[in-house]
Amino acid sequence: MAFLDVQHVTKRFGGLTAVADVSFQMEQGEIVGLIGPNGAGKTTLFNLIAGTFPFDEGRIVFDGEPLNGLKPYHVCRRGIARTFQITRPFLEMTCYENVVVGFIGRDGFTGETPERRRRAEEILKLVGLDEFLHTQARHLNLINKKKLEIARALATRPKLILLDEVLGGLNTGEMVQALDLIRAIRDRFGVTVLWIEHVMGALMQVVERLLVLDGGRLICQGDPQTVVRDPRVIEAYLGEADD
Amino acid sequence: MPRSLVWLLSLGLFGVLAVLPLVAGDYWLHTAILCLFYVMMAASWNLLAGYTGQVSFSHAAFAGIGAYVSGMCAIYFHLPPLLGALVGMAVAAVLGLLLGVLCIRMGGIYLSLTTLAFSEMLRIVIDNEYEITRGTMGLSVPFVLPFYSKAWAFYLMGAVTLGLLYVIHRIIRSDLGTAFRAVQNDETAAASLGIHVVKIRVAAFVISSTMAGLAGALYGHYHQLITPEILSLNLMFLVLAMTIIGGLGTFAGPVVGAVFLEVLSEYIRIYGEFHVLIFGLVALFISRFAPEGLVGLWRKRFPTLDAQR
Amino acid sequence: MDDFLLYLTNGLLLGVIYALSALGVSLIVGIMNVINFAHGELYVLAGYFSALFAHALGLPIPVAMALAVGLVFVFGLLIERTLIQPTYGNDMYSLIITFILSIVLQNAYLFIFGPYPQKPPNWVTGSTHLFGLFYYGNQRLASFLAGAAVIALLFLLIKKTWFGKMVRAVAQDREMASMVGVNSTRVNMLSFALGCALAAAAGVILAPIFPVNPTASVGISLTAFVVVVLGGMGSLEGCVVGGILLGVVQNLGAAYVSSGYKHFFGFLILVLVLTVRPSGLFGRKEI
Repeated sequence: MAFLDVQHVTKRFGGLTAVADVSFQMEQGEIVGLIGPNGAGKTTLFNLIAGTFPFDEGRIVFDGEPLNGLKPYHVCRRGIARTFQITRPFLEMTCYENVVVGFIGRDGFTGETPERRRRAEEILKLVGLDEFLHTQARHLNLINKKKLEIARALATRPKLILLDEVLGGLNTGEMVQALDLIRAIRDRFGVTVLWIEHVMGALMQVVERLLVLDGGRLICQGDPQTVVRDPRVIEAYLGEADD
Repeated sequence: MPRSLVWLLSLGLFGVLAVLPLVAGDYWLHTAILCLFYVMMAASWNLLAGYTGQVSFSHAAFAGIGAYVSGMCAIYFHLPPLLGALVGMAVAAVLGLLLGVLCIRMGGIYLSLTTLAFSEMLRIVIDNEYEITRGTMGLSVPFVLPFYSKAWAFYLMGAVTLGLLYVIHRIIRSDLGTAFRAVQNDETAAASLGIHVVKIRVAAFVISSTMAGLAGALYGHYHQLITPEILSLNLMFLVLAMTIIGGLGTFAGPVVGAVFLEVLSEYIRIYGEFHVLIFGLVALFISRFAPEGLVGLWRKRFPTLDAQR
Repeated sequence: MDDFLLYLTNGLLLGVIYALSALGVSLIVGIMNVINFAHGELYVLAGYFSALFAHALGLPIPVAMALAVGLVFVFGLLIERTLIQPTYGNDMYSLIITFILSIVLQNAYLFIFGPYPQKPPNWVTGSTHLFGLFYYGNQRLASFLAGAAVIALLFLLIKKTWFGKMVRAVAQDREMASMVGVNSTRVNMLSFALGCALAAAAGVILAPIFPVNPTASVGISLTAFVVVVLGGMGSLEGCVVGGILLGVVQNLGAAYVSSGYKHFFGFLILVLVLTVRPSGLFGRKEI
């Protein structure tokens, strides 16, 4: 049984089919990239896995249990965390408090314990935000906001993390930091990673497998080098002006 | 603020509260008791509006529920007022839960409109059920204590107010308070981290409504006459204006705002009923130019005092 | 049976009036996602203005009415610019600000116009024998017709004109609208002021029947909110249907249950709608 098993998932918005009959599987510990032109349905697929909207057809089984019909908070408690394409940290709260929300969501109201404090500080140190512990999130720059989202997600002790365009808007130096961080998520925390990205060069350095969506359909999947040479993928991208 | 300063301030406040009945005349003692009522109302409304971002217009209605239920318990079942106040509080909690479950799913504007409709419905019922509620004539109820003493009523209200503020402070600093703020900041992100947004919102609504019920019950028994005026939009406006002027979303804000406006209204009472107009203009001005209220202005003026927070 | 018909007619006429006075709220919610709590106060203001201009200045009634609506329109522009614009993106704050504004205006009216009801002159006198059953005041009929005309004009404006197109574009997708060159800030200002002018239109049309006083506004706002929720936030068609429905239910309820509970039924409807179908009768489908 696969760790994440997406079976024939379809989502329609009115007349538009945003995700059409998508099936794929992931094994525990993998880092998988999800690519595709703009509007291919990548973020929608994330939202379906995370429970933001219900899907119309199909089944998603995670770690042996179906996710159908679960709300986002419930999906999170099952062990799936996410970040957002446009960052949304809790702007009026400190980095430390942002991370604490993740602990509360996963473990309930335990109150401040030395153990929790230690773990929060450890996570913030891992992502490189230890010097901003008590800084309000609205004062952070983009890369640090993205790091904070990852830190917050890690606090929910996820087994799978969904990363939505972590690299967008970062400079080269920052990208290197981000790539190291993503590897660390898997290697240090044993978290499986499903990652939407537009910056192909960087993505290729890290992922072990690629999924390609186009027009809501999964057109290709497999090892990165093979996938990028696939004529269907090339056509999907050439059909698009930018990128 | 440095911890020692907090202790010093608290001690000073206690001292003032303790000796006030000994030095103040009847009139100022009455004003002080009104202040305590408004502090309870504003602080509990602020917990809801300032920390979870839900603007409820039924806060005065819940005070009315507390007052009427407690008053009717005393009149029809001869319960002692303090016991009645607990019943009033409980009824406010239950109705708060029902109303919260009903409208919080939809959030935002819907909550405001539903709570407004709820408080108007309640007012209509109380106006019309004359046999039970005495309508606009008002319901005469026994004094809050077995004997009549303004000074002791003040001590009682003061103790309850301090207790309530303590509970609110604990909530704000607890995990629940952190969840409140997370939901206010960004509910989608909060949900993605495992926070049950609707539950958190309803919890805030119920806690806040219960506190209003308690405040209303005590106020009713102090005043010995409960009229539909308590659940009017006027009281709602006063509570809202006090919170805004003091500082929405700050712990000290509603306390400062309530005392400031109540004392101010005693001074400008001679100009007739127009103090409401003045409060309104001040509140409008503050919400437009200093959304963090007097407390926010203070913090801007003396940023160092808060740096260690 | 005659009684029933009378209540029904009353309800229908009142329903059109409700629809008229709720349209302004609906328009503003639809476009800006702002609930204007001061809606009723603007209605009352226009009522005062028309009475003042007609009585004190001796202006002809139509001129007094037009002037009153025009002034409230300008007032609406000012409110939007000074109070609402800084709250963009924070729905809670716009709610709080318009609520405070409503209290300020109520008390200002008390200060300026005094506590007693004021009423502009009637347009027409006498009454008409309707359906051979009962007599109905001509002023009520005239107000009904004027209300229906204003509603029709608004629909023409929104559905058929360039301004209407821009407004609908902004209501549907603010970002896209601004990308194709719509100045959404200006659309906001205009539509907020238009919403206020609609409140004013309702005020000048109805003040001859229901004289205005400083606190009359509360009932007007509340009724408008009920109608807007009943019809579906931001739906103008829903607003009309909701208004008529509410008018009929209130009048039948007041007649057959208890007149003291007249407004209770409105709020009951609101709470029921919110429980069963929060999007209202004509609510927009969410994506």
